[in-house]
Amino acid sequence: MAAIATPKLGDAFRKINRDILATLDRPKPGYWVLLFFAVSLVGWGAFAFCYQTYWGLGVAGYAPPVMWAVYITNFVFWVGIAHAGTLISAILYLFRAKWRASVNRSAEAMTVFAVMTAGLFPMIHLGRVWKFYYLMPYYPNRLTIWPNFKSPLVWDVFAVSTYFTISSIFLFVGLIPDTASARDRCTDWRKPIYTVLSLGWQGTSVHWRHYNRAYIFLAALATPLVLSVHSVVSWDFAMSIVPGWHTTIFAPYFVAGAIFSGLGMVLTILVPLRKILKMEEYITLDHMEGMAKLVLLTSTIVFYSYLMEFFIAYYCGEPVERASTLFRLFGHYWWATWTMLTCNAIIPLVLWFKSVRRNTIALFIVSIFVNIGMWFERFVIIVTSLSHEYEPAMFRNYSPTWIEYSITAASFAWWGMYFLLFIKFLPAVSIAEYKELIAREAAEAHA
Amino acid sequence: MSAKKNEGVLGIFSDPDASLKAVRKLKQDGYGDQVEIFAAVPPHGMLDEFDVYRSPVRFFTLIGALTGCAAGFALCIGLALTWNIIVGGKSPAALPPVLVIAFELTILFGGLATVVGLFLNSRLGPPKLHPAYDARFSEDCVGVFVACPREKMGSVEGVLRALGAEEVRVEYA
Repeated sequence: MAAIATPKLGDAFRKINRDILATLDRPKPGYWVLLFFAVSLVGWGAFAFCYQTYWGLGVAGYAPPVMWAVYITNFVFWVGIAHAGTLISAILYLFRAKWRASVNRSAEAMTVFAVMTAGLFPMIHLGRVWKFYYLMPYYPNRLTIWPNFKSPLVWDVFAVSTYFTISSIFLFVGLIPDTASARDRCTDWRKPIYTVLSLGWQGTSVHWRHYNRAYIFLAALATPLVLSVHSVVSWDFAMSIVPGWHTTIFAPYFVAGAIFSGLGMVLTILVPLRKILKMEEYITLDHMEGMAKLVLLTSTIVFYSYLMEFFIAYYCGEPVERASTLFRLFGHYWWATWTMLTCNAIIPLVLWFKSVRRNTIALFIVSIFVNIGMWFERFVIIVTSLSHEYEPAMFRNYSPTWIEYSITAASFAWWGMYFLLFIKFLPAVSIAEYKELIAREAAEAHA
Repeated sequence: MSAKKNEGVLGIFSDPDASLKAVRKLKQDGYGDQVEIFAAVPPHGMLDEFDVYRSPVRFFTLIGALTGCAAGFALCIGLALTWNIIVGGKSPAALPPVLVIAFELTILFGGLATVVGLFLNSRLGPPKLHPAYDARFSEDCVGVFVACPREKMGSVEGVLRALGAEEVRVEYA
């Protein structure tokens, strides 16, 4: 699976160090343009957020009964995006999937930044953002907040914060040997930073012995966490009695969707990344194909979930549930539902063809459709259900305003800004894991 | 390691297999615990010489996870009983929602304890490096360091050279 083929292991190791650490060299003008664009968009989003904070949530298009809308859509979307990193880091590590070695670092970083982005939206959604501190540190009963552990919203706080902590640990621990490599090569102002981040790593037997064990245990802990986080997020909806939400299929449906969208986003960033950083030799077409197969698999699970939702709505004999589903398909938001179905269920079917799976431009286009489709999936679930509940007198459609558009665009820029900084400060491909893969393949060949 | 653990002989190998043979030979010669390696990736089979499966990190993970699980149950049940609302004669502490919090805290505490175990057992943290450490060890070479008194340095140097060390350095404390 590793693409590097050199006669001696030492030469291969030297080349890996040189190539991957070269990505940390001085950026080209295009990088600064992208970073400037991202920071500017974040600034615009910050302005929209300040405007909303001053004037209140009314400027964001919120009106009863649709009091969860684009912000919660964004929250669920970004938590979903975060799922690919830990899937690749933990689950594929335990299954010894060789192709993960080239993509795990980018996916882990993407995960951490995606959770950081998701974490903004509950605060933005509150309107009175200064009340946010009521949610977190005041256990037990303080400030008249009742400690109600039966609420899925409280589970969500625990699940997402645990996920953020464990994902950050995974990223940080994985980076230790690589920052040591950067420390040993670097001669500029970044050397002290790498020295601190590498924590005195020298690759001794003691270091490797405990490191390898710790990594396996972290992977074993993170594996059920990946499955639990989006299950808990899905229960934010499924535990209610809102039509379109109150269904037992939500947990596996959300988990599959999260992995699907996360892998879609990994493809979206890896296709340009491997080109810009000249990493084609490390992030090969085999790696892209491996991810494309997972996208296809999760797409079929998501499609099955859609069909099952429609079937249960028809079969349950509950008129409100049936009306809600018909509203989704043919009502005011039909375009969003059909965008979701087309992007998530139909377009990924082209990945059945090997030629598409190995064509980076085609993969990039499919991944963009997956991202769009998965954002609309959350929009459809949240907005169509709330705007068409039980009481016809309370049916009301929701339209986002410039505030939501700005903050949503800024969230992508916020996430992209961190990713741009990441690829210039830390190795985007795991040096140690790639060397380990080469060494293992050499040992197997020797045997 | 000897009393002066930074004093000894360092062999630098570009061939990982040669470094593995050197470690095995030195262990046979009775240097056992005095041998240490520096490697970007440990050569295949090298860590078996250092008994990799006995890392105590596993106990940190287990204790952390059990503590987290207990903390989750204690937090939810304790608070529900302290500030209780009795509805329909049911117990204020419902078990299903407690499981979610207990699960999350199991993972959280287990993960944090694993990292603490890694740092404590590996003595990671202070950025100070061993005096024999060479920047090539994070790139393509394997270093084999044998902590030994001065009178044995000659024989260790001979073993390292005989088994393919490209460079041998004597380090004094």
